Amino acid sequence: MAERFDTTERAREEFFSEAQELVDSVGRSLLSLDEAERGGRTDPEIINDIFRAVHTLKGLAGLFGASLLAALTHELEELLNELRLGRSRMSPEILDVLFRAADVSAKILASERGESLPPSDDVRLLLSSLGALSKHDAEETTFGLADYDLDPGLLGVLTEYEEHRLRTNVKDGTALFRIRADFPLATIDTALDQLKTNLRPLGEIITYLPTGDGRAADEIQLEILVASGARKEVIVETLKNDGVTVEEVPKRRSAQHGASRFPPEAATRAALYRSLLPGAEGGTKISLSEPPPGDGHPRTAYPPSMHPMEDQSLRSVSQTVRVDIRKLDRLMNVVGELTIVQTSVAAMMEKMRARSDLRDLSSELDRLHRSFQRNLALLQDGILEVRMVPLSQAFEKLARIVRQVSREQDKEVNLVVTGAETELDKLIVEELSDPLMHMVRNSIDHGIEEREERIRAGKPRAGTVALNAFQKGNQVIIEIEDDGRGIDPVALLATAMERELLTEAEAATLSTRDIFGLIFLPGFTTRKSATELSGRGVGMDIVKTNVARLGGVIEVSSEVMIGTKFTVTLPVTLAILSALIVEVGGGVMVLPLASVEEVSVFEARDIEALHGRETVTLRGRTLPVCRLAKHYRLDQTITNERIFVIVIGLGERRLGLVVDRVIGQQDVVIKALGASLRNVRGFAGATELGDQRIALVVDPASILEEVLEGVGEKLNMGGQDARAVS
Amino acid sequence: MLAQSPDDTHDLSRAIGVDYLVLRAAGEVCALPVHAISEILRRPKITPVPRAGKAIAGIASVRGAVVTVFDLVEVIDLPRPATKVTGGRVLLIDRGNEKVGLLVDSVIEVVRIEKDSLEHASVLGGEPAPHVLAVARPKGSPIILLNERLLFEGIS
Repeated sequence: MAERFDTTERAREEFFSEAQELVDSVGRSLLSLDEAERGGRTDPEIINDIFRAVHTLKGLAGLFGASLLAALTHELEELLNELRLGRSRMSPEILDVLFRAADVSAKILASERGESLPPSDDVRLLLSSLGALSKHDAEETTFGLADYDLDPGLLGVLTEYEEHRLRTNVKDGTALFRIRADFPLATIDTALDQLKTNLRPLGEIITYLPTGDGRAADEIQLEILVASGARKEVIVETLKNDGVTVEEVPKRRSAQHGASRFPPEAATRAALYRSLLPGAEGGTKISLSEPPPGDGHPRTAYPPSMHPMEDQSLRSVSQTVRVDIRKLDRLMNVVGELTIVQTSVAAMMEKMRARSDLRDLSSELDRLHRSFQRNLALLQDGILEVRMVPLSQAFEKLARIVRQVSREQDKEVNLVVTGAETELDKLIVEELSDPLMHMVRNSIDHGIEEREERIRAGKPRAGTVALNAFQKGNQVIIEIEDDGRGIDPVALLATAMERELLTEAEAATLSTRDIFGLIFLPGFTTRKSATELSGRGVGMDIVKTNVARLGGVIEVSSEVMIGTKFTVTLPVTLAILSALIVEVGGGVMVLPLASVEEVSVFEARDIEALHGRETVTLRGRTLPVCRLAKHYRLDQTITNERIFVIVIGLGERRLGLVVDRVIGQQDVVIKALGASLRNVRGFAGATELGDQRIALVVDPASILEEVLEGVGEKLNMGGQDARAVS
Repeated sequence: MLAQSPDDTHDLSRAIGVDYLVLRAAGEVCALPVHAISEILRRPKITPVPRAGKAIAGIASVRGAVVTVFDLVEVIDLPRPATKVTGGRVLLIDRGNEKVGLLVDSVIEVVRIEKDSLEHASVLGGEPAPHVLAVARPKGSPIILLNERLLFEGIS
């Protein structure tokens, strides 16, 4: 089903992804800002970054007629400008409003996409809080820059932001230094970055400009204005390898006080550039517009004439493209079709090989076929690689949730993240956001104790929520761990019985692991009981369902007073599957190889019934088995002497699946089942095996669940029967 | 669940002047509006889905996409004839959130329904099923006009 975008639609798609990226980046910056604020300092760089992002967002919103977003970003831009120019002071209240603004912006984007209603009320509320914030706390710095012996030409080209930073530093009594450095034109970008990196620990770079006094034709001299609390000798020492001269800007004796604005006649930056360019006046016509607001630090301050025209600014710095994931899905379908072609070619080759008169042709075809196969595999890997994104995309949103929830609940919570660079299929990362959010919320909401309780228990005041991700073979493990009060299994059992989810007799047979598994039962979702009991269970059944839909499993372990850990095990990708092709009840089915640990052959009489459950003994250990045909209620006409047991394992659990026959192994493109089959459990999707025949893909996670969890099975069976009736 | 049907359940006027595709399922002749059908396919290979509702014949591949195929006989709850007729055609129709296949024995023709040939569904006696819009006799013999909007009512 090819979806075609016309140009406007494509432009809108790009607007959405770009706007979304901007909103995400604002969210990230706000987190760093929040962290810095809690450390007691305001980072002007970050505020400036946010300002720039919001400014761009406003432009985009205007371009695409997203009027709510345009109105919101306009007000935000005002506030941020005040902050960045030091006219307002950052405060926790302002930060809260900014965080809310980021959330509301995301909502607006969702509504523009048609996914939800426009959050008009949210915007109205936010605008009124914004209105209440601005316009107070104004502090205009009137410290005289004239006290310093600064070149009026330089002062004249400062942006408002740079001027503000300069004033702030002067007000704080920080000394100013003028650093002159010569850079070869060829390497100016890297050399300048190096110098900036070296300078950063010492102070703040206010601005830099070319002086026009380069020593050689292919060199350029920059004057860098730095505010630093360090002594001149320290700066000289630090930069001794960079070949620079350092000079402290002296204070003028006969200073005129009170001058707060620079002379209006001072040249604009563009004018200054032009005056520096001997050749630019004549032939080449280069129009240099004013830098956009806030663009305080031009990366390249060298004369534009040094570049060939076509190399100018039209080229984007970024080497990346944004791709709609549906396009990748379509490509993947094509790869699937090609795989089928390849299988047919292989079959033809076999036929040719049997004919002695075609030997030459057949060996040639064989060679071509190998090359085809190899390149097809590369193509497939390539597409899969494109689909991979780091988990940080999901984790960053979680950091905001942590901040929000901990503020709501007045708890101190540190979020510790490891392995955010672990990569997963884009689709999985997207689908994972909500389940992870639920779990993190639960951890803070119910796991982490009140401050006083923690102190009484001898724990640090601030609770810790840890997110750990790592890859293990074909799977990715994500752990969500807290150092809260943990889950009390005794209380958990009591509630389960109270809610009639299981009988006393059943309860007695449960292992500790089974007991913790109870929190995933649908009956445990009511918030009230969860809070009264042990503080877990808000929507955990939904979390489990969502994780299972992605082919993953979730497990929980907990110790009272020590904390709770959720472990989510997921496949790396959903799109393509190394699969075991098996025969079940006369039909062909496919099993994801990632969850297959081994295949063993048994005699039919090796199956023993233990405690009402069928098992086999594998290397001296008991392994529960499930006859797949029986599980799927298929006819079991075939009664083999020898049976095939496929051992599947997910997380810590093992189960043997009994199948009629193992046919082979193949890479398959997995496709989703339609919405009409959403209620049918046990399948992860379907795949085409060539010959236009479709085979179902067994979902090991859901079978493990149905078979191994006695309680779960009971409930699911209830659901099955209800469906059969309808 | 046959409880509350929308007001237009058996509203004849919806069929007036509309083209209907006449088809056969389990020996019975019925019809669906042409505009509801996006494609008529030769019966593809259908893979049954264990534990799915009995109205679902299985899944099939339609140009690389997996499509759920319903058996019209089960969907509208017709008695299955003793001599098993194998469905020969699949109609692709929209079921709200997805495109699904509808297995029928054969398609016969397209007819335009005129006002004079329409009879109210109640002529069948008793409370008519919600998926029956009306009875029409475009060429003399009666045809059940199916209401495409309520076809899947009561199917999980």
